Formats: sequence, C-alpha cells, structure tokens
Amino acid sequence: MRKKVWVRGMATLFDIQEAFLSAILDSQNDVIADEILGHVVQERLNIYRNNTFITLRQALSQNFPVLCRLVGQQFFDHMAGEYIQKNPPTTPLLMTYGVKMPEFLADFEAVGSLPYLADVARLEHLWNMSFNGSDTAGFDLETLNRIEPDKFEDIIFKCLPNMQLMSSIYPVLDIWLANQAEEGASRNINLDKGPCHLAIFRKAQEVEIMALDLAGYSFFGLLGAGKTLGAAAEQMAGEYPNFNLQEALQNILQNNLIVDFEFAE
Amino acid sequence: MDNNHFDPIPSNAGVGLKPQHYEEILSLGPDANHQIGWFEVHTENYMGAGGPPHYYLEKIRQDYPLSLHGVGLSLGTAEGLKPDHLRRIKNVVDRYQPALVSEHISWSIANGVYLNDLIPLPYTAETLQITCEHIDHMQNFLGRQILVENPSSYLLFKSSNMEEPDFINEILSNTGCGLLLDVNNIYVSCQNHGWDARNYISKLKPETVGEIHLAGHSVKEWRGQSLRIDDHGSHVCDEVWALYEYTLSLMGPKPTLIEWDNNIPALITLSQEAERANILLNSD
Repeated sequence: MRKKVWVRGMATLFDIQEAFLSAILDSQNDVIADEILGHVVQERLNIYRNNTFITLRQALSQNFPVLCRLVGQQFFDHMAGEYIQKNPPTTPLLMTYGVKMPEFLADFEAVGSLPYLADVARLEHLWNMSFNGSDTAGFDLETLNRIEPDKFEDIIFKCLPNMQLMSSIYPVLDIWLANQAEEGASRNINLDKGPCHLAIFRKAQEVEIMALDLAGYSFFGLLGAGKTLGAAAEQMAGEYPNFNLQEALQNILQNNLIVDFEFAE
Repeated sequence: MDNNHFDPIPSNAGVGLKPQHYEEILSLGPDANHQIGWFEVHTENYMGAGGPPHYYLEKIRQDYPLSLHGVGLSLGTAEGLKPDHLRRIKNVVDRYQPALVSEHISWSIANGVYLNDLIPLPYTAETLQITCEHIDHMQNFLGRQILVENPSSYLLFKSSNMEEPDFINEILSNTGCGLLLDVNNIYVSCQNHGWDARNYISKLKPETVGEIHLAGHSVKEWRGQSLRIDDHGSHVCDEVWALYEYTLSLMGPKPTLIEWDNNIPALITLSQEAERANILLNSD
C-alpha cells in the first residue's frame, strides 16, 4: 500500500478509509493514527486489526475444515493470516471466501512437503460451492422412456447445477474421508495410489462425493459441457475403447444426477 | 414508506437464528418456544443460490416473523455502494418478505476490500451526506423503509464535529429511515469514550425506533485503561439490562432482539434471555 499524507483537517472520508484499510492490513502502517483521538491509539487500532483477522480466519477454517485439521489450528491460523493479507475478501460473501487457497498453498513454501494440500483445498472449495449451489426439482426418469430411439443421440442432458468435477494426482478423497471422523481416526493413506477423479454434488441437503474412473470422469465432463449424447458417445469410443456407455448412463440416471434434457436443434 | 404488508414484528423478544438451532426450533414448534416471538438473520448468510441455509430458513419463516440484518453493505463507504451486493440483498428480501430490513451506521469497504468489521465513521457533514445518499439509494432500490443501527466503537476521529446521537438524528430526519437502537452498543461506546449513556438515549426520538438490540460484551485492560469489546459472546450484562429498562421507559415497548453470535449457547439459554426481555417489555 502506498503511504498517503494529507494536510491536517483536509482528509476526506475516502482518505481516512483508505488509510484505515492500510493500517488494518499492515500493522507497520499507521498513517491513520494521526487522525485518531485520545490515548492508546495503537491498542484501539489493534482491536480492529484483530476483529478483521480473527473473523476472516474463522471464515477460512469453516470453509476449509479438513485443511485446518491436516496442518493443525495454530499453523492454519498463521497460514490464513498470510492468505488474508495477500487475498483480502472483495465481497461480503464469506461463504465462499478462499477461492484462491489452492494457488496460495501451491506457492506457500512452508507446506512444500505436503504437495496434496492444494488439491484438498480445491475439493473443500468445490464442496462448499455445491453446498451453497442451486437446488433442483426432482426429475422423472419415465420421461426418458417416451423418447423415440432415433432421437437418443440428439439428447443434451442437463446435470445437477451444483455438480462440480475435479481430478487430482493425489488420493484427496481418501484424505478427505479420513478427516471426517470426530476423533483422529487416522487411516494410512497411500499417497502413491494414483490419481483420483471426483464428482461433487448435492441433491437434497447433503453434499455427496462420487469417485469415478478416468473414462467416467471424461464422460461427465462432456455431458457437463453440453455435448449431445451422440457426440459424447462417439468421442468416448475414440478415446476410451473399453468405455461402457450403458453402464455410465445407468450410473448417472440411478444417482439422479440429471435434472432435465433437451434435443439439439 | 409502507412497511405493513410484510407481516409486522410484534413488540416482544426475538433471537438471532443460528444453524446449530435449526432442527430444535423446527421440532419444538412455535407454541413450545413461546418466549421467542421472531427471528433475525444476517442477510449475507442467505445469499447462496440454494442449500441447507435456505431449506431451514424457509421452514422457520413459515412459523415466525423475520428480520433481515445486513452486515456487509457498508453504508458509510466513501467509494459508493456495490450494486451487486444491493441486488443480493433485494433477492433475499423478495424471497423471505421480512418484517424488518436493517443495516449499520458504519463502513467495511475501502479500495474494494471488505474488512468484515463494522468500523466507525468520522461524524462530519461530508460523512452525513454520503451516508444519507446511500440510505436513500437502498430504500429506493428495495422500495421500503430500512432501519440503521447505531455503532459500537473503540476509537473516535479527530475530524468528527458532531456528536453521535446528533449525527444519527440527522440521518433519520434526512432519509426517513428508522433506528435500530442497540443498547449494548451505546453502553460499550459510552464506556469507551466517557460519554453519558442515558443522555445519549434521551436524545433519540421514540417514534424513530423500529427495533432494539441487546447483546453481551467483554472487557479488555491495557495500561490501566479498560476497553469494552462488543463481541456478542455472552449474557447481556446487568448494566445493559438497566439501560434497556431506561430505554423502554422513554420509548415504550419495541421489538427486541437477543444477539449472540460467538460461543453460541443452547437454544434454551437464548430463550431465557428472551424471557427476561419479555418481562420488561410487558411490565407497564
């Protein structure tokens, strides 16, 4: 933040708020102190610094509970403090604050020995997006039975609007699951298990995470991108010769991951 | 502005709605929970597109009047209101048809950064003009009256040249908005700045007060000086109850909220605090 100087008594509201913001985010910056009345000015300013950082750290530990558990509350608070200074919120919507946490962790040297943390954070953010994402009305599978077979390949499925997809070279679902128990029921996680592919979605009030194989994940991605069933099937057949379309469709329909469909023009 | 078609809040006690109490509130039902006449929520907590927060609030809204209390609009910001946030507030108002909509006489946003705190304003003609313009804008956008809450503060600006209650009265008369009179905030600020709390309250006009807030606070000591911290994390203290009684003697009964946002206790504790307020509200 640049240092601002103004003539006493000439500070506008904008000047005061800008200087106050600088003082909150950087405890070395105390230009604003000249504008504050009375004694123990630094202590008074510190109340505002603390309020801001404590409540934002709380928001981050609520949004990233597994991350917090993996590194411990004390280290998390330190890390969160740096995150807040680098990425202070730009909206009052704290329910999804921390969107840049994965990138932040990838660059944060102190956790360099835990390279999977960034992907755990990504999973937690997507979980949150799904938790707060749009609700959906149920979809009647019977309507699919009334479609003429020659129209199948023109179907464009509409997936759950709160569905999120991610893949990682680390077993982030295993890590996530191992850290859901109340007590530290630490399971041995095999970090060399290979990549995992996930669909994260919410049908009623509970967020669910579904593990997919690479082909299934690609198929979800194609449907999510609005491809027709015919185009998706053709691409899948080319890229994954062992892909079983029938099985994948059944999985999607039986799990109620489709909320609607339309036909390509 | 007409507020009456929004299912008005009676002059009894309500409490802040917290997720840990959703299930219990629904299973008790309003009859078994009769000390709590209404609920207030932080508007920002219901700005997601869907999910459990809306699922529960919609059910609870069917049984209780609702007040929406915003913490993020930053009415006193010098850089202008964020239109997207105002739109989000309107979406929540449209969805839940609350009896009351309130915000704060403070600021939280500068240089596009949201500080998640309610920071005091210098009380000057410039601040008054900016804040009034923003309240006018918000009331026009929502098509209804709002209430604004008096702040709690730990510092004062040298440039202030109006007293806080006078500044508030100017806002109320310039914009036609109502006052959310937070008794705990007045107590905290008066203790911190050496003001007289009863004198402060006596300057406020009863007909402008649409709601009262009560909350707990804590005390910190520095170099022999103590500062009261408005942390909403404990029982309402006896001094604030006494000040509330004094407020009621001047203002008459008003909808009164028990705010408890940190170290959240069991619902029964909130209900007991509400009962204490109800006894005072009905004592005339």
